Amino acid sequence: MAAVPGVVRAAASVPGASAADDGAPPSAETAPARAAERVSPVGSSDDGESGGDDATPREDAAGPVAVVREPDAAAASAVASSGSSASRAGRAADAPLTAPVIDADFDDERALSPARRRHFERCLSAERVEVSELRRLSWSGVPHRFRARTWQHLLGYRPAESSSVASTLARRRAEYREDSRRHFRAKSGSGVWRTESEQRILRQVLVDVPRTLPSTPLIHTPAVQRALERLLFLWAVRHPASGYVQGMNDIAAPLLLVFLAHHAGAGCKDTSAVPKAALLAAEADVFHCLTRLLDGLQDHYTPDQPGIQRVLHRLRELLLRIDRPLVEHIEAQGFTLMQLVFPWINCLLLRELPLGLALRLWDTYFAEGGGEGGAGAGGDGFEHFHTYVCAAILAHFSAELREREKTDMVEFVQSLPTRSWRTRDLEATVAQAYIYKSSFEGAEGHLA
Amino acid sequence: MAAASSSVDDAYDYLFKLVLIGDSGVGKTNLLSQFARSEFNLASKATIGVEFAWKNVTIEGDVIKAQIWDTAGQERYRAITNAYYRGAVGALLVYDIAKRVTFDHVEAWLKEVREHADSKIVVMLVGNKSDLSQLRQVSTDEAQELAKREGLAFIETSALTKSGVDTTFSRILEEIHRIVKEQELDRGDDDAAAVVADGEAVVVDDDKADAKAPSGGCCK
Repeated sequence: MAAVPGVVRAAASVPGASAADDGAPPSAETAPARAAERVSPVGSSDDGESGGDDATPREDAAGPVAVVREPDAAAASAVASSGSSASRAGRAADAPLTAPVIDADFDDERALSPARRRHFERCLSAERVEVSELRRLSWSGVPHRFRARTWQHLLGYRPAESSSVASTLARRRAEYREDSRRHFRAKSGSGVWRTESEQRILRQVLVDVPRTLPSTPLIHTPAVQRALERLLFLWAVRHPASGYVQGMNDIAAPLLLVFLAHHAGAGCKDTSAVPKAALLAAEADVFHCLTRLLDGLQDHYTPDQPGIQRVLHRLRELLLRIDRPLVEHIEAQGFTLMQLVFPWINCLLLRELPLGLALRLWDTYFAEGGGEGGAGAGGDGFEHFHTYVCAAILAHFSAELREREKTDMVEFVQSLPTRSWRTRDLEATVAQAYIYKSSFEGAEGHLA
Repeated sequence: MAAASSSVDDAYDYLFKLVLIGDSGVGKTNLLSQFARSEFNLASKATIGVEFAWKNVTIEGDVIKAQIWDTAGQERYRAITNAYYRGAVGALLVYDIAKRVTFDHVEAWLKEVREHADSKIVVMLVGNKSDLSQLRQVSTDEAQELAKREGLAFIETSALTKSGVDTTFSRILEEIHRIVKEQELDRGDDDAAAVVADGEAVVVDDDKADAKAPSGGCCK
């Protein structure tokens, strides 16, 4: 089986591949990005945007982190999948892939509206980013090219002062590299000594990482797999109360995709073009942001998963007010909400929605996140608002659920039609969740 | 996914509830999808919590609805998955023949079963991934020996090639069917205890079965 994850291997380069393969605008970035380790490719604004990105400082990291291209003009939002490569998402580990990062366009029309984009651009390129404004703006969706920076701000990872972005992030990435080296200094055969529980964690991580977002080829390039293994392992070692729990790989994946697209720019649509430096930076950023996100959900993953049980309890109380017959029907069939929707809570609906929509939902969750400053901002959106969203989904399918009995009902939930939802379906659900929240929030306090 | 193999026809003589257990990554989900839908998914995700599938099979003229609950392998989910042992009449305890550690955990899984399931539950030890013969870390003999010692049926399968998959399910279902028939004979009563309403599994255990049969008829 897979060896202990070692040093980052550079993504396989694909000699024949060119950016023109999938009809995307030709980009000067692909080749140099692949060639160089310390890379700062030209930020060609091929989507016609003005050069607002130039206002963003570069993150000139000293030490192991290398220089990473900060501007994300022509980020992956420009990519329209060619479709053909997705079918090549085979597991042949060393087979070169020319697959797109993004299987579908992650932007909905609203996110693409020029006014909205300008607003984001203005907000993000300010000397001091107004996080509260960004939060307000993000609630109804973040254009994909601004997603990485926005999520990082809303999680309190990225400093609001533009002058301190470079140094702060460089320091945090260096910290991570340091930590990572300690745990994975797999130098020529001499393994790293690990405690029994660390071995157990690693074993589980190695089983799950290859099963993360199976239809997203970028995640399955060897270098990205190693990065995901390292960061999940390190997170788990640092959080012994929960350790690694299955499903955390699912939760880390969207962060990794979004941050990789940001760091590698348009070239990232081609997996051969993920520069090593970009991957290193993204890996560290994902680690830190995952930490912040999960800080808000700590007891979701500790033994007996009390956090999840709390959410399920609230969900039931809520549904009793919204749709009592549905709750009664489910329970009359001999099932609990836990049995029906446990994965929704555990994996934050990532498995029930197309990836693009899950990212869109997460925009709202991040926007709902904690107070200003936002450390550990995961909780409010990902637990509290999430409960309302789950209620809205259940209520949406109330008729279908109530006309099914027993295990037929379970099967319906297992193959929920949300998997083929479009943006407008999700928007309607989020709006409904907001209405529930406004109506029941005060009352809910009494239920806890 | 809905069970594509059968129509909505809900007519069956017996409903048997089975659980699939074992370490994560041993191939439980694919064993089930091969059995229920003849599908193998190389890119399946880790099971979170419990997933469900069913299939009807015919044994000695009786239509059996096999209701199978596929559980997450990781220990953290034990609190959730344990609940599914209740009412189960069979358990497939799966390990990976190419991963020693998954076999080493078989005893611990047996302990789980014996703690949470009915004492009469039929347990079958399943060594999956037999297609990985060149990577084998658990010999057939060794597994056979363990099965014998613990009183379990044993089989090797490949969810990838489907080798042994149908045999696995039919053997455990036949065994349960045999036990249920014997119980019915013992009672001289073929509809009181064993045949239960839709959604409820057949209970093999005498105590519970007796509780269902008003006349008692204890034979312990």
